[in-house]
Amino acid sequence: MRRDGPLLGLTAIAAVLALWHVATVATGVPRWLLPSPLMIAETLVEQSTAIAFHMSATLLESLLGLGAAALLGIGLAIVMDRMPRVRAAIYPILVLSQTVPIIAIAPLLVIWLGYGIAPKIVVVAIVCFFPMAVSTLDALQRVDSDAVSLLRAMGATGQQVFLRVRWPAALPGIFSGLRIGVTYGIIGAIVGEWVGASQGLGIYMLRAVDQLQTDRVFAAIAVAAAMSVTLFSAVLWLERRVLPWKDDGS
Amino acid sequence: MAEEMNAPDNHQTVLTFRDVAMTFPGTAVPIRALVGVTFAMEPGEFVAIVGPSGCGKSTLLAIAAGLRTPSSGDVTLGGDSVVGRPGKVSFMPQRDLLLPWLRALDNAALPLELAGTPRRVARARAAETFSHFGLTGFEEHWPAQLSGGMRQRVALLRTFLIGHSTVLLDEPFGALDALTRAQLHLWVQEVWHPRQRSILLVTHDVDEALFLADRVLVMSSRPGTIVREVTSPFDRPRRVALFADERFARLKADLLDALAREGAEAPQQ
Repeated sequence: MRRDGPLLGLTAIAAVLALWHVATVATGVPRWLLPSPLMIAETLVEQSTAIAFHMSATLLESLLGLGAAALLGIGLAIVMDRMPRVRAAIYPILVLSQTVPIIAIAPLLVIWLGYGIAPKIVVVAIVCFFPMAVSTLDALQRVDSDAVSLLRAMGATGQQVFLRVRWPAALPGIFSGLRIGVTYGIIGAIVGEWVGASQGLGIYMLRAVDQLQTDRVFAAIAVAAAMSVTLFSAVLWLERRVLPWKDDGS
Repeated sequence: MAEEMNAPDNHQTVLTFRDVAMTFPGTAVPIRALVGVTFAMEPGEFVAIVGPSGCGKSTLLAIAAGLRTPSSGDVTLGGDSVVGRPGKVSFMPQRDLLLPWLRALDNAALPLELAGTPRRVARARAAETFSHFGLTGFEEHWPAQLSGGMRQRVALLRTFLIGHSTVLLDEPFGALDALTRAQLHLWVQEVWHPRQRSILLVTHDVDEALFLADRVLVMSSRPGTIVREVTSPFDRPRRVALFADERFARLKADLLDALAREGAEAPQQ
């Protein structure tokens, strides 16, 4: 791993923020049109209690939805891998489901499931399900068939082959699905809240937009971004713990 | 070791190939990989198969391991067909196929664990053998951290630990340097062969075949079939000095001649 990678990235972010700040000050653009990063930071501190309240709802919806998507996606991928006819039948439906804009489904889910947490979890699950299922299936399909044969030659049962070869071989794919899933998950929860909620960053943003409190919208965006990055890092960390053999070398 | 070789249960280890043929559906015409392969292994016998590359040697071993079904013919072990019934013999394929997610020691111990031995016991048993293979200190390495030769030794050790009385080895020493290969030849002869008795070795190395085996079979190029049989009559245990023996040199020349003729007559496909 190169050490200067994250440093360069952080420097670039800082540069963009500095430029943004200078531009807003220099042009004197009004706060409701485009607040400076410093104003957003002030709002973030001022609103910290409210934002924490809304953030916790969004986080919970994301994690529950992601968990459901992971269980369903991995489970379906395993079934599809073992049964080629099921795979052939289901794959087109999976792809088609991705062409339906989630923003069109979200209000329907509110109609069907009400204003509570349920429709948000479903939105997150729908958004995260596809990357989870596809990357797991991909990894399962690429399992070394010679390794499977070798275990069979050792007299391994189907269950042993799965636990010793297929599942460990699928884990890297499952983790890349999770990495994509966590970033989609936060967006999914916010979209779910946008169409009707009493708590969550989505409804917080919507109210702020209605009152032209642009700084609050940006503050919420910053928090959502921070959540995504944190979850993404957590998945990376977990991946290194679970797949130590992937870090070759030292 | 003589009395062990004549143990009463030995008739169960006899591996018999009866008119084995294998045809693959090719892109244009079907490819005949094996045809009319017939031979039997005596109890406790060490048989080597040499042949030009692509002659179907590996396919023959995969059939005997129960992994591939021949187009016709049968392979029996102690009278029972092994076709489509894997898990009856110890099989080492040409690729080392170490599982990347298991440490070297766990890879070697895998067959014991699959058979129900607790992990701790299986690891301890595998660890005992690691030093014979020059692998001491590499027990906790991941396969990706091992050299090709080391990986092959772990794979060989894993095959040894499967523990069946009939052993199929496909080019097990190919990735090794000359010195390690010589050491493992001695180990196979002195430890493995007396203990697990019947070994069928596929190799392209005539020296290796004559040095290790009781009998060397020469396979023709595709479609592969047994075209020549040479007995390696030397007393055991064999020593490296055997390579300088005049009779050894004559047999080797004989085998190389047979192989060269096979190579020359290879039908172009």
